[in-house]
Amino acid sequence: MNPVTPRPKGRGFFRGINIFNFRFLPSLRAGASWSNGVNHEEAELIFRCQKGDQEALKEIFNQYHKKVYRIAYGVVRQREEALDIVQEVFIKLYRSIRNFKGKSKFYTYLYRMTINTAIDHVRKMERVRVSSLEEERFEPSEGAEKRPDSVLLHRELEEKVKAALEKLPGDQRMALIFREVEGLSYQEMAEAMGCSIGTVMSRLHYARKRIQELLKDEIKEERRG
Amino acid sequence: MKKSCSAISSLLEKYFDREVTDVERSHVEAHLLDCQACRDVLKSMGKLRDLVKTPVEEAVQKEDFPWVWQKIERGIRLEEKPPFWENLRSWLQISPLFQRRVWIPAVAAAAILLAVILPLLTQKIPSHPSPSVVEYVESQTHNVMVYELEKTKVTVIWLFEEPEKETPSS
Repeated sequence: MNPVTPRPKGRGFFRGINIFNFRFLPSLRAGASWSNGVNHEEAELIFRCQKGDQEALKEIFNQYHKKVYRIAYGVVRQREEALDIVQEVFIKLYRSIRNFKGKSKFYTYLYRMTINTAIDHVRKMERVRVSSLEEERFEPSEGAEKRPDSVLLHRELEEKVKAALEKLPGDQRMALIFREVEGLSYQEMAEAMGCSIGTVMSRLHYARKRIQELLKDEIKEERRG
Repeated sequence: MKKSCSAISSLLEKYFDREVTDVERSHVEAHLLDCQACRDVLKSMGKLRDLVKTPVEEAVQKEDFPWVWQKIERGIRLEEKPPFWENLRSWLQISPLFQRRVWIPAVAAAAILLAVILPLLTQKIPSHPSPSVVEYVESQTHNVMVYELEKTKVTVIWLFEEPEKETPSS
């Protein structure tokens, strides 16, 4: 009996390219079994979104935009940048949701995408800052002297927190943001960051230790207050 | 038996993050009752959380998210609509009109057609009839119209009789 040789996919240019990505779509069909505890409604939304339904994307946006914004703002600490990240994440999601195979929880997939986008933004911001450092000199912002003391102090404190966070290595910063801002469990953090729970705990521990050193004056002041 | 600070410190962070088991929680809480230093460590962690989280929550409250959704929609629409040149190029690649087996005969047919039509187009079309002069003369007795062709020197003269005047009825 002749051995059956697998037929190459496609012809000519399309050889080997699975243009329609049909492979994983059946696994996400609404009503299919989900091993990771994703609920039925979410599965339906994702399936619709994979078929290009923008209304489904809007529903996903309504469910997750604040979470994505919290992580983005937690990392970059700038309103405009954080909004850009939210925008970019949901456009990326719409474009690449076909690649979501339902193996992990949807929000960990979305958080991972948010982290990667935020890291890219931070890198861009750092590049811009380095190039503009030689040209610019720090000066108090316009009208700073007119603002009430409390607002200025608040702003100053926010700047110090931002500077301290920027001194942390990327993975430690992410661990801190996930835990302190978004309140994820160790298990959820491990899934989103693609590492073990032990690694998550270690990153979180070192992040806290470092940032407490950097902000020790602010922490003491607050405790006295 | 109460545990020492060094034994508790490894659990303190897990306790703060609510990741301890019931047994671990009871150990930590028993230790915290008598240990000011560990209570301070816990407070510091709480303060750190406030410093990191509060500005983020304030920013979330201020934000206008429907506007962000509109920007996302616009971004998707722009991505879905490729630029004109991309459209044209892909159309040229896909369209059967631009396949070699179609366009070579089409070009040949067009060339033949042009060869036939071009001489016809360039042929001198007779110009308008040679100019003529129309003169209209009104006389006492007749109306006269003179029509004269310039080239052939033909002159046509019409005499129009005046219509009979109606006699008023008496």
